[in-house]
Amino acid sequence: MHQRSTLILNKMKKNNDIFDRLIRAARRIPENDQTPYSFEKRIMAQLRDVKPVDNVAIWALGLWKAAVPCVAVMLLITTWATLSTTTDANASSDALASELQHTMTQPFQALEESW
Amino acid sequence: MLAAQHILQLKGLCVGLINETKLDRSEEKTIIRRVLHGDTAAYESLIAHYQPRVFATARKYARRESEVEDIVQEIFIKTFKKLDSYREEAPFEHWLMKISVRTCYDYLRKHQRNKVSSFSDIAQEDFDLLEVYGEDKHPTREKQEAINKLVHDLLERLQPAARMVITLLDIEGKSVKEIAKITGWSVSLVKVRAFRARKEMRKILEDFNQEKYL
Repeated sequence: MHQRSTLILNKMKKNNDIFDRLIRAARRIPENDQTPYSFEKRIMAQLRDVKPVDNVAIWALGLWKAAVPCVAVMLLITTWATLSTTTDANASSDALASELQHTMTQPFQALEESW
Repeated sequence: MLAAQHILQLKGLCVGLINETKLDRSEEKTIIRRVLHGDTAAYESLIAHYQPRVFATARKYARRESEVEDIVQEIFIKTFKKLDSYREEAPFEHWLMKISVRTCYDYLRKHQRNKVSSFSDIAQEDFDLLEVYGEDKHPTREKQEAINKLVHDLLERLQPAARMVITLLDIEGKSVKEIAKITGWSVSLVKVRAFRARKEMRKILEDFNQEKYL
């Protein structure tokens, strides 16, 4: 048991040691900051096709995209509302008529009472 | 005599080139404002000034020169597009390096080549060189090049986040806070990723050692 744990410890120690050596080796790699000749010209050529970010255009595009689902929802609701009123119309036409009459005459009734 | 004259001329040319791309902070601010007001051509001097730094950063994460050039190009185009979001309180260089590191990270994530399980492309002699690294104070150029290649090969096997953390924390010696600022990760996430990265690297080294003796 003791021998096995010593073996594992030694292995770990060795791995740590190699890891440290790897990091030290990586630190010693000199930075290569060489640039290809006229590289900035290449980027500038690319930039001519790049348009600056226009926030108004982004908003307009977003709103335009949102308009289509909004219209679709509106149409659905309108259709649903129209269909539901036509089916209920016959059943509740009398009730609606009396309610309308009651609403229209309500102010006059109130006036009569106050006289 | 003639050779000395040539050297002097070359020296003058080099100094001229260096001066041409040297910028102080006020000049830098003026250039940025000019670019923001539509003078795109002014951006060229910013590229000329900062490209060596950006190239050095990109070369830490990509090996092929064509890939490095693509990354650098993407960094400068991104910087140009986002220039209106740059706040002048912090140095432009810090802001640019943040974009550079994040672009390199995106590149690593897109081009994950660390799925290789076999170590066949790593030479045994090169790994042995690493085992005795540091004992030889003045390694030959060939030895140093072999070690550099080995370091790249081993780092390539790490997951993108692990490679990023090991490069920034262990190799470049940046603090956890600095890394958090650069990458946009939280301090605790950097710590967790650093722990996992070291563990992953040790596992790779252990696997290589095991394969070596099979």
